[in-house]
Amino acid sequence: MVVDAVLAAILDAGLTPADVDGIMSDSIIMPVTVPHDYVAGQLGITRTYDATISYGGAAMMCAPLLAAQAIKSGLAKVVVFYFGVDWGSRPGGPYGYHSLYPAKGVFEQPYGYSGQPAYFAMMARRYRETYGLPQEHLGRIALNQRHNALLNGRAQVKAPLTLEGYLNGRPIADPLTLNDCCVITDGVGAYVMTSDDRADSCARRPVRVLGAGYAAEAITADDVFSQPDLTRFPAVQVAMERALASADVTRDDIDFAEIYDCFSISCLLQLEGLGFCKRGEGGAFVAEGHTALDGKLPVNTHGGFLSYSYRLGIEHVLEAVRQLRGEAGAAQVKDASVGLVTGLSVPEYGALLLGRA
Amino acid sequence: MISAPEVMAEFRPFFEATSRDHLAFPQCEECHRFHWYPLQRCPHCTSPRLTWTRVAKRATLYSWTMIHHPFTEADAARVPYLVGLVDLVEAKGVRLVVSIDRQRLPQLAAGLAGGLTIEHRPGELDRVAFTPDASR
Repeated sequence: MVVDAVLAAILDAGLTPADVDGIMSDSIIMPVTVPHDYVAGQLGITRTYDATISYGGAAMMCAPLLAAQAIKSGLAKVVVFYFGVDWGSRPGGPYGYHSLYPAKGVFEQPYGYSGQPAYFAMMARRYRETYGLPQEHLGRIALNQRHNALLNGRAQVKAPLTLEGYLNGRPIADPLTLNDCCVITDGVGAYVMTSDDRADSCARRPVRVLGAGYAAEAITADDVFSQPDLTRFPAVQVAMERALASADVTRDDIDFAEIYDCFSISCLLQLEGLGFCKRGEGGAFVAEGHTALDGKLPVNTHGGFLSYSYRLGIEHVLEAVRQLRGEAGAAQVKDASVGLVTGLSVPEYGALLLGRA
Repeated sequence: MISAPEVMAEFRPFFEATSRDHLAFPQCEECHRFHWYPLQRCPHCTSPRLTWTRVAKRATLYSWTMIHHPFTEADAARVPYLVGLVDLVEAKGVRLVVSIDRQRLPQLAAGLAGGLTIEHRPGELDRVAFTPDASR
C-alpha cells in the first residue's frame, strides 16, 4: 500500500521514480514497518539523501524542514515523504505503543490507565476543573468535523451527527464519548518535495512550503500523560512561533487549519496553544462558530481524525494541498492562500505553513 | 487477573517500599527535589546521586476518569473503573496514577485531599488507591 502511494504521488507530480533521490518518513513507525529501502528497491529509487524525523504525528509537518535544507544544499533534488499505519488491523492497534515505555507498564497499565482515550480524558477532566468545559463545546468540535466530512464523500464515517446524538454517545473514558475519539484506520499517504523552480514545471499545480516549526519539550514520553500540566500540550507554542517566523506570516494570514485531532480535546487545546484564542477559551471559540467552514478559521475541512480517517496527519497535509489548489470541492475555503497543518506526538510538535503557488 | 509485568531494576525500590506498605520516590541528593517516573539522573540538576525517600501517604487529586471502554482484554472484566492522578503532598513534583473506588465519583473534585493505601494482590504488582478524606 505504501509503495502504491509513493508511486502515485510521484506520478501525480508528473515525475518518475528515477527523478527521486531522497526518501523521508517518521523515525519510529515507518523504519520498522515499511523501511525506505523496501520502497526504494521496488520503485528503482537511487538515494543521495535519506532522513527521518519525529514519531508519527509530528513527522509529516516537520519533514519539509529537513527536505528544504537538503534541496537547498544540493543533497537532493526531489524528496518523497511517506507514512502509513495498519492500526485498524494490527493486534493491539494504537495501544501497542505502550510496550515502548517500561514505566507505563508498571505504573500505569496495572491501573487500567492505558489507551490514548484514557490519557486525553484525564486532560479533558483537568481542563474542565480548571476552566469549565461544557460537554457541548467538545461536541461542537465533533459536529463541525462530521459536517465537513460528509461534504467530500470519501470520509470513513458516513452517518450524520446531531448534538443530541453526540450527547447520548457511548461513554469511552469520561468525559470523552465515542464521537470525541478518532476513528481507527489502515491507510497511507505520500507527498513529493522539490525546489520551487522544479515544482513550477511539474504536471500539477504545486503548493509552497512557507515555513515549518518543530519543537520538543524536556520531558520523557513515559511521563507526558501523567506528570506535566495536562491542560496544555508541550512544545505547541514554540513550534508555532518558529513556523510563523520562518514563513514571515501572522496568525491573521492563516485561512484554514488542519489540526491534529486524535480527540476533540486535543483540537481544543491546540487552538489555544497555537494562539488562535486564549487559554480556557477554546471551547467558546468553537461554539461561536469560528472553526466552521464559513468561520474565520475553518478547522479540519475534510473531517479530520474524528470523521475522515486516522493516519496520524498525512491526510491533513493532503487536505491542505487540496485546499490550496482549489480542489477541496464542497468544503473549499474561499480564497484559501495560507494553510496551517499541525502534528502532535507528545512531547514533540510540528507546525507546517503551506501557501498557494 | 492481571499478570505482573517484569519490573526493571530501577523501578524495584518502589515495589520494595509498597511491600512494606510504604511509599518512596526518587529524590536528588544534591538539589533535594523529587522526580517521577524513575530516571537515571535528576531532571532538575542532572545529578546522578539519587536516593529513594519514604513520604507520607497523603495526596491531592489532580484529575480522574471513569473508564467505560476496555482497552485491553485484562481490563474488560473491570469496566467501568475509576483511575485518578494525584499529587503527593510530601514529594513535590510526583504525580501518581491511582485507583479510586468508583462509588466515590460524585464527591471528586480537583484539589481534594485524601489518603493513599497499598493494595496487595497475589501474582500482581502492588497498586496504590486514593480515598478522599471527606468520605471517611
